[in-house]
Amino acid sequence: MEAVFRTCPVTGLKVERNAETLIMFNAVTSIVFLLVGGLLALLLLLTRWQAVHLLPADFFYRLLTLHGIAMLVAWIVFFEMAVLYFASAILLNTRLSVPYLAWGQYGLMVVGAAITAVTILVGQADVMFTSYVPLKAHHMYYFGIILFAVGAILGVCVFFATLGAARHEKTYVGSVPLVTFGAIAAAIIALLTLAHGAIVFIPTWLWALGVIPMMDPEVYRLLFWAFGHSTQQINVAAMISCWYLLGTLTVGSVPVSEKFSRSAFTLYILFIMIASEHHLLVDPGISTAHKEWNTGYFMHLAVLASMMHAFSVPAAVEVAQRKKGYTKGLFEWLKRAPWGDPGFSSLVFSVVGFGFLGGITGVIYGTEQLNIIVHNTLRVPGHFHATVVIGTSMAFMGITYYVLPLIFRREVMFPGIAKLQPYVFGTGMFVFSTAMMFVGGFGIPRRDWDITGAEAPFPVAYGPTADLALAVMAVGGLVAIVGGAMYILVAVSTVAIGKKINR
Amino acid sequence: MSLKEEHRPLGTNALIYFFFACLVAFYLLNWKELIGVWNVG
Ligand code: HEM
Ligand SMILES: [Cu+2]
Repeated sequence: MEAVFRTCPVTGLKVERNAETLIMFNAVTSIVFLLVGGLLALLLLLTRWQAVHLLPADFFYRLLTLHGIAMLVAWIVFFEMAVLYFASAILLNTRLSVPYLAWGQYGLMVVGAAITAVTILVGQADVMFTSYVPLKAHHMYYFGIILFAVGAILGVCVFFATLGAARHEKTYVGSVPLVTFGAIAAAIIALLTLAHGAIVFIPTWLWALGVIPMMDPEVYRLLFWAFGHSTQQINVAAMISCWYLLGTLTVGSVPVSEKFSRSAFTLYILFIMIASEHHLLVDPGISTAHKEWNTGYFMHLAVLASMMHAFSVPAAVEVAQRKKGYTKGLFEWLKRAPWGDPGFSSLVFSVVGFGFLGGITGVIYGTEQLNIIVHNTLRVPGHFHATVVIGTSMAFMGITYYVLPLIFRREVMFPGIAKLQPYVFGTGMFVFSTAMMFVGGFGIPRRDWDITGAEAPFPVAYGPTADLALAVMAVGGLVAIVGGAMYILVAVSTVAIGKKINR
Repeated sequence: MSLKEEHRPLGTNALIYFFFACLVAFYLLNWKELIGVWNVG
């Protein structure tokens, strides 16, 4: 495949055909999975809303498994592949190295995700996305995940090969841009993570095939979360790269201090594994002292890095705005910000949602001392919908509004809807997550179809306040689903029938 | 980095203080609940 370039009229960046095509394929596929996951979210939401209680029990658990896989795995990781190709080939003005391998990435991930999704849908894998042993899914479920992970490893290899080639061919001066640096952090963590994924899923697959007689549940959970938690750290690093990029694209900000931000990315790589332990806080296999030291104290080193970014991104935006002359008082810069630009409002929702709602609750729920009352209640999904949905997903949505004109070269359709979309989705999700955490405070379990205890030997009642809060959660979730549909409408129709922008 | 006086990010600074106030408040709230659950003291 020969490298063919065009020059972007807006940014002046050289854009290579292969890189562009692969970004498009990965981005579109990720949005397809968002659509699937969103439809499932609607059904799950209407089931957890106790007054409606839509699905029968087996379907609830089946679709909950698929919602976790479609959203957390497929939507996010396909989008991350697009981000990796963008941060290497496009930002460094070069071609994508080994495009064949990049197509391999795409093909394996599509086939893997499809196999896993179908296995779940036909009822052979009602194991939730954590697939804790001794729950056993059909072996094709694990096989699909392994294919998907191998695909992701290929994508990371293409990324590093492209960086190497760019360096060798001197397509950029000085050190790589901060956004690329952040993507490098994400990619390094991805290699560590995917290695753990292989260590945990290959034996589990062999166990499902009957080759290995037994899996140890404690070891499984330890290794699973070395994979599962680190995956979230990839998301965080990718999200933060998008924050810096959105700051630049929307108000022309430059990082306040490159060194400060780069050190924060480095902290992620160093302390990534420490925080994994917050998933094992009720596990008897680890000593209490270990849990307390690790999650009560050391964990804050990883948190520090997130705070450094979450403070420096708004500071960069503020400085850029002040330089435009908005210097009155403390907040004129904020008042005069481009609130009508969906890229900007998504950025604000993402930073505030991730920092305040997701971050604060995560830090506190993740300590050994407090986790004991939080574990396995609805507080946990309440917390992580704030991080992976308001945080990561909204950052990716915000970036989309720039990827559409710059990479797909089409005018964003329905600009009015696009303008409103972040507000609808963000507000709905804020209400949904907050209410979910509040309901969890009553002790209502997550992943539970039967909170009334219909089949329990004694009556279980959480009281009318809990029922009301569940209804608030449902209304917030419904608003968010409308916001998600608006995003998909704008993105899909722009890609399919949007007006072409002439070069 | 040297910034002109009027370009310094003072608004963000205020937001950071607000963030830490929320963090501490949420910690206290949860500790109170924890002690309530365990009925310590
Ligand atoms: C409109 C948006 C969404 C709504 C209304 C929604 C709703 C829900 C509901 C009701 C549950 C079940 C909670 C339980 O019973 O334990 C759930 C679980 C979950 N959601 Fe979402 N969700 C949305 C978007 C997302 C997105 C974008 C992601 C990931 C990026 C995501 C990731 C997850 C995960 C990982 C679980 C846990 C699955 C498990 O426990 O195995 N959700 N969601
Ligand atoms: Cu985690």
